[in-house]
Amino acid sequence: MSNTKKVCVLAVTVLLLTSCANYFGQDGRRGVSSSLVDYLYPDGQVPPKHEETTPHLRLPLTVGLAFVPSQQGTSFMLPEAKKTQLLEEVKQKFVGLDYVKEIVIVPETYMRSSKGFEGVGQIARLYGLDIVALVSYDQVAVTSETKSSILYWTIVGAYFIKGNQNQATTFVDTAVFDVNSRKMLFRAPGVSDIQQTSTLVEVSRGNREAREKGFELAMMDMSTNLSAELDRFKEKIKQDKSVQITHRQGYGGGGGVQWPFLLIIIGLAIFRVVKR
Amino acid sequence: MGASRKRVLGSAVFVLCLLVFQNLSRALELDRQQVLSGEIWRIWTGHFVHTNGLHLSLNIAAALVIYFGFFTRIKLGELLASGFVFTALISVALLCIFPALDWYNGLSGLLHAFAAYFSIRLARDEAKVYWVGLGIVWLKVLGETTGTNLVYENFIGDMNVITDAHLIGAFIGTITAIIGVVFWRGTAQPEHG
Repeated sequence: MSNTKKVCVLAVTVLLLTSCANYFGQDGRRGVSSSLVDYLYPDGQVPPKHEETTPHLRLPLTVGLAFVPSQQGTSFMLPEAKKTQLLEEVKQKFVGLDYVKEIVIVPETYMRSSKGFEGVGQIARLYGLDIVALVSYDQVAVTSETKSSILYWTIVGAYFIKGNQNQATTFVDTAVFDVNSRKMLFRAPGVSDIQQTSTLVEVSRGNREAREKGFELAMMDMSTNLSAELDRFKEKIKQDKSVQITHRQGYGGGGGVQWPFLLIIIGLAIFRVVKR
Repeated sequence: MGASRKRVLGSAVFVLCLLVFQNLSRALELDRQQVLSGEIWRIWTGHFVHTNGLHLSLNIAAALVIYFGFFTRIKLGELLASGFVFTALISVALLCIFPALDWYNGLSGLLHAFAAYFSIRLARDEAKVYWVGLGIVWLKVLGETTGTNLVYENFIGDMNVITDAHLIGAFIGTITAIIGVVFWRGTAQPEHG
């Protein structure tokens, strides 16, 4: 074989191997997001000027919980079943609150049918909601190759060497709105950053798992923050009376002496007995 | 039988009654619909049943501490008579002032009424230091009232504490005592031993 032929064979071999690696390697940055502002104020609508209306909440509340729909057609969208599962986990954290009558998970397909506060109002009437918690999100998933990916060139390495790193950075944000006044009561964010390695042939699955895990962790973080924000909100409305609270028929409770007062009267009683 | 033994025995009977009533809470609780449908006894008995064990324990402890710490001089007859009046007044006030309130139970509204009433009575008849007791009761209920606009904010276990019952109790106890003071002014003071 002449030198020219040898060079050609070598070049073709290198080209094929490179193409092979490029074919399998899904090195790239993709993402999915949904915007609360775009959903509530579609087609470039401008949010109205701030009004001094006081939200009126009648306890116990019926709360709607839904994801803000994302742009359709993205392969990175979470399936509806997974979204429902994530919302169900959030629901379980808050379902025991006495001032919450019911938490209803609203499917994204319902949310997609109409946008804006008019759409939210329609869904609220459909489900009998007092407030809605809308979860918007932004996730960026990056798949990159590590140094060990050089072993993919052996072909066998593509099956056994975890040379791909799948990273998913997720941000979720839950904004809670009073349906009637259209006022945002409070909001809580949640973030996660997850990295997982995978072999070349499992890169799609690894990427999907990282994205789902990213959503799960971000939603857990958001739930914790939402609980803290709820406590802050209750304290805030006690102070500034920015929300009017009344009760529906059907609530009740007991008259009970609590620990701090009991300890005070025990102290006073002991003091009195000792002094006598 | 000595006075102290009588008090201990009376308290034991009282606690035993509360424990027995607890098993009948569904029939004794202050329930608006049931009262309206004729079960009038709930106006009195609702104060002697509790939502859960912790609620019952805290109220029993508070009742015993208040009685043995401050009001052992009060006669049993006066305790029963004032208790009969206060429970009815608190229940009616709760049902009228809070139309959304469907049910209520617990002793603490009555305890607040007792604390306010007997503080004034004993401050007038025995020692001025009982005015401090009245002040503490009112500081507590005003703190609860001004510090919260959500009745759901106070919990014992998973139960809502209706702090309005405390305010109503303290108010009724205070007003009743003031009426009593005015009524008995210039007449012989009621006996207590």
